[in-house]
Amino acid sequence: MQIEKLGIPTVQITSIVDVAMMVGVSRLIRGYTITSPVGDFHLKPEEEKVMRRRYMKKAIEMLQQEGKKGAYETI
Amino acid sequence: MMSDETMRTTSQNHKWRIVCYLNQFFGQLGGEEKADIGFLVKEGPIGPAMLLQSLLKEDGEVVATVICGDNHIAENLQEAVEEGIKIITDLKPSLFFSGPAFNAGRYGIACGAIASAVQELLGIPAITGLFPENPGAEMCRKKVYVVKTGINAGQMRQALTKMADIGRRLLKNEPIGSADKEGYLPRGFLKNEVVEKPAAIRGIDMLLDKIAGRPFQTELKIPQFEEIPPAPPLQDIKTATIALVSDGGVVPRENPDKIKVSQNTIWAPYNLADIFANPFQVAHSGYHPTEVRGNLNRLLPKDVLKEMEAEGIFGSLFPIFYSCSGNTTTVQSCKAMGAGIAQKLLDEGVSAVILTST
Repeated sequence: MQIEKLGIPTVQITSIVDVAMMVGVSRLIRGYTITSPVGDFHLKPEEEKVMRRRYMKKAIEMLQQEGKKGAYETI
Repeated sequence: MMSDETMRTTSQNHKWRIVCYLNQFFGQLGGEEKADIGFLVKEGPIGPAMLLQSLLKEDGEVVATVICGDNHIAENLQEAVEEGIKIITDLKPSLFFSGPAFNAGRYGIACGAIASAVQELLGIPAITGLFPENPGAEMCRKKVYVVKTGINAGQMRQALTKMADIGRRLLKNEPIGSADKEGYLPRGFLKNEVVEKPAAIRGIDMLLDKIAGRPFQTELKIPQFEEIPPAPPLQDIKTATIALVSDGGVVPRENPDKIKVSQNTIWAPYNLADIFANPFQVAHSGYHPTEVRGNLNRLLPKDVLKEMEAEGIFGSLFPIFYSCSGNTTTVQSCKAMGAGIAQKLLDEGVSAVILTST
């Protein structure tokens, strides 16, 4: 929020979306898990990268869109 | 000699059935490595519930302790709470306690959510205990009694004593005084009280105190989170510089800037290429770092971002990332660290940020 205050659009990726929304985050992606926001150790490395890329693609999209408070994206 | 069955029936007739909720740590199952564990029920009081039992021994009996891992519930709050409610319904409590969770974030959210559901869906008095800044507190203070606790379990006894007292009075239908007087978080109810000084005079007195720099007590507390409008979207992604920021506590080996594993106040910039190339540490005791240690990209998605940069999808990935640790951090520290990082990003001409949080 402090970063957004200075006009720098910020996408947050976290599993605990309730807290982020409470604080007022307006570009929010639900992280995969608490211990691994953009990864999944069950997947093979190449598959994991594909999964990670989906998160980054969405993040980059959201940086170019208006922020939306009280909402989050799930990949 | 009474049979077990008769004794249980007797206890049900004369004493309240109390059920307590704890996380994996206070439920004595383990630390972060057990944070994914699902719901389980243990007979009788476990851990802090034993003190609750002794505080309420005249009137009640802790018949069961419900335990669940912090990650299991925090990652899927709604479904997990539904699961918990089914279990608690079957235990037929007359009184329910969760925590106290002090300033532990995931645990506080869990305690608040479960207590709220017990109160609202089952109509059973539910009490929890949280440090006022715990994120769970704001979510549930209007639904259940949230006893104000200290920042950590060093004040367990004081917290449980207050929780037990409120619980006892709720069941006995004894009046509970104001939030300030009794030591719980304001529930948002306005109760009319007659006081000697009219409001106009109280208002002027307060203003005069404020101007003179004397202490004063507001009658209405303003919520603590600043309303900050979203930053405008990026206009030109092809020239944008994106920086990574994280509160997962990743630091170079030896933690040169001494970022703290909990209640942290320090942030630091580190070279992104270096942190991947050299041994690193996780200065954060609020999550199990195995997955991040196994592949740092799971927290700092450098591999994919570097590819996307090379493909021209965005301008450039800033070579420095900003690290801090967000475990039981106070709101004030978060704000200060955030403002510090934000100013640095602005000075460096960063256009946008991807912030990953554990």
